[in-house]
Amino acid sequence: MNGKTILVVEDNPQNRELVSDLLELAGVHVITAPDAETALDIAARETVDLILMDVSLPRMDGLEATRLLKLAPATARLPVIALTAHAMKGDRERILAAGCDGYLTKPIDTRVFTTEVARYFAPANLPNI
Amino acid sequence: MPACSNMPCPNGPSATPSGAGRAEGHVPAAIGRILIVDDEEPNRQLLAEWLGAYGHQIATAADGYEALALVEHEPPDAIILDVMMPGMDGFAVCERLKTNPKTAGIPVLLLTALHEREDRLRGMRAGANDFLFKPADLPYVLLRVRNAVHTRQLHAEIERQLREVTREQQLRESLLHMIVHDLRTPLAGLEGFLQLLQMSAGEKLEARPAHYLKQALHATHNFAHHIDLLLDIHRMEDGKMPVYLAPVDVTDVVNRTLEPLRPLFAQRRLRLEIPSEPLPAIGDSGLLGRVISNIIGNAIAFTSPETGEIKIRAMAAADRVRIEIEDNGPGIDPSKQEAIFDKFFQVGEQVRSRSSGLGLAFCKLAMTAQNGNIGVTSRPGSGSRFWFELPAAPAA
Repeated sequence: MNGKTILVVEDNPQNRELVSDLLELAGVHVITAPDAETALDIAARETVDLILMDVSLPRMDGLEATRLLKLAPATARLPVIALTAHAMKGDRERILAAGCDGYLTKPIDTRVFTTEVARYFAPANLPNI
Repeated sequence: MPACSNMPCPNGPSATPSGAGRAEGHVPAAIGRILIVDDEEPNRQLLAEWLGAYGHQIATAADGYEALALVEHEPPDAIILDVMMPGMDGFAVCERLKTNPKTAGIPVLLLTALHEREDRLRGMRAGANDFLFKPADLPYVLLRVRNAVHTRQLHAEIERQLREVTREQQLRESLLHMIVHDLRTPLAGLEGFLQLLQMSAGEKLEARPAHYLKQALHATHNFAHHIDLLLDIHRMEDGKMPVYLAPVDVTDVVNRTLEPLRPLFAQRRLRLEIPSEPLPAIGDSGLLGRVISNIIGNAIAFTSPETGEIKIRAMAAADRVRIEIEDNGPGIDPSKQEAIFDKFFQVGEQVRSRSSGLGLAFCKLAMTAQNGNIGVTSRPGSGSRFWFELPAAPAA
């Protein structure tokens, strides 16, 4: 993961800091966005390798943002990993239907978080292009 | 409109017949609504006037169909039901009332001829609560009706209290759940930033502060683990836990679960009987892994480092795949072997001090959600053997 750029979309400042710092300690270059609108803007302008997208965001939620990202040719191939609070039945289906490439549940397990994120950089786990 | 409906009849008996005094004895004068069902108008009239005079509200019906419609519309506190009626007879009406959960609780007093023993047996089979005889002995009728109304009202009161208790219980549970749920987010922050502190400053710390930080992290992980168990049990009880049943290789799940646990075994002797070939089953690998680590965690907690021995076996057993985890700890009293899978059960303070009693409840719910089973065989003094099974995957 060293040298990769990850966009962290999370409205809770404490979570945002926690996730960013964990990734930075693993050598990741982190960009953050507090809402979906800012995230879409950043994804369109900057070079990003992966997005960690909180599902529940103010106004536009993370799944709607993912749908828009997957519709735009410039960002359609960008992997999006959803962050979901305490998954309930049916959440996985909703997340995958929105076009996310995977999901991690919150609260994150800090001991294994970066390893789990790194899995999505392994070629086998990238979506078929 | 039925005759003499919903009102005390003005020209009832003027004198209280002996034995039918008001508010006498242990049965209070309950004012109840009585439905009188009889095809003969004079019979209806007589009972209606008599019972009305003693304060009961009266409704009448001339046949079974009318009776059922009235009960549906406004359930009475008791029903006097004539047996011999054209169309639908009293037995049929009674059966209909007693098989409908909404009306089954209303006492039915069947009106039969005194010598018709067969009728009374049939009436009991149809669910009748009491019998009145023709020709009507009016004081007797009044007392039986009062009894029936009294029983009905006691029953209604108990139902009301039960509803209230249930509602309060649900409120308490949802309050508990809310508190636990709200605790989880700040706890995740605490856990996460402690971890970050260790990762970023750990090497620069002196031995003592580094140790304190490690202890703080350990306690926080423990705290989070128990909160997560509570939340997961709640989700499973609500049927909201995502469970993904798919072919799983139990051998692989056991091996992968054991790997990070190895440091926890400390000096305890670990004996593994795990086949080298796959054990295909249908289950949720995540849930199965958590059940395995919970049971192993218990085995470690209940054995001493010096003498502890833990055996882990995995095997195919007919159409099931079975895992057994055996320890040589204190064992479990036979009378408690089922209760240990209940929420908040604790084997005993002296034995178990660091557990919330939630782990096994989680395991039980998790195995049930995977169409599996869990149980324990144990003899006090010679250890416990926990076993759990999943359905084997059908041969390809």
